[in-house]
Amino acid sequence: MKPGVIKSLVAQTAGLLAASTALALAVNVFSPAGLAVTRALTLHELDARYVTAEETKARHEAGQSLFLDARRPELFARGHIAGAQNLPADEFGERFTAIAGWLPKEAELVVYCDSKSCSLSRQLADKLAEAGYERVVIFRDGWVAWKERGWAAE
Amino acid sequence: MSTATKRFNLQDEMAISPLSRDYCAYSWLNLLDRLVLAAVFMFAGGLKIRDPIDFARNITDYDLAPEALVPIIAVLLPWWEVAASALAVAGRWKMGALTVLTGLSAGFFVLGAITLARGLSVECGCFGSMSERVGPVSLSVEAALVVLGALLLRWEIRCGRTREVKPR
Repeated sequence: MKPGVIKSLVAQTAGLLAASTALALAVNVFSPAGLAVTRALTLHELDARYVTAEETKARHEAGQSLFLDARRPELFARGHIAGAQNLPADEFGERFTAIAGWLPKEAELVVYCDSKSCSLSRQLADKLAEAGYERVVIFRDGWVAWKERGWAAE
Repeated sequence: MSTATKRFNLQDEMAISPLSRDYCAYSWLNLLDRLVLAAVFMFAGGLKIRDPIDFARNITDYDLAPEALVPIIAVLLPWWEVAASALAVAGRWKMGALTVLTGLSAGFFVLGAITLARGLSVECGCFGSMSERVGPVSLSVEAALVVLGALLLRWEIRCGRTREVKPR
């Protein structure tokens, strides 16, 4: 490749990135959906439904919430939070019909999956919200964090 | 400098063989491919711009970027996609636009491959809330975009200036 071509390729790429970066930051400042870009987002900012491990444990001890495990049945069988029911996000349609009868709409549901690198709990929370459950929280750190802390498990 | 000499010099500089001229003749195919690539990124970037917090959640799911960098990535990356797509369609700064689009595709492909290798079940976040989970399908799409972007960039580098030169 000729040096002239490389030079214009680099100049165009740098120009494009610089201009779009400036535009993005400007829009972000004035947008109602803009993010705080100078610090990490808090758990609550990421998703208002997220709860910490400690908050989840408090709910578990209070015994007022129903725990739902969004992972596949074979992972659920290997270990889960004590008292949790398995409702795999991937099989929501068929499995939900079976439990909808005894799952009260006004109950607070705590959903979780493996860890924060698992989006199944959020998918399950979305599906439950669509089904009319308004009190759904997500234990984002999931089963791995719960097990590491040695909290009640089955 | 006469026009003939100017033409000769430019051809000489670009080392255009008759084969290259044939290759470069397919500008309509190049335009079509460019429109496809740009449409994909324009759509993907537009969805992310509309809902930056959703995209930030997707980024955190991958558990690779430091948490302090998640918001700035969520704000900037969609605009890079949209700006590069717009320029690719408009035919301005095409080399830069195609470099950005190809680079982004390659980055997404590598990210997807790492995620699959780690055995994570993560929504790819490619198309906002319409995204598929990272898997063979999303990886194939990214691979196709890398190939398309690289071919377009190669065409642009080899032929971008040849339209100024009329074959004698």
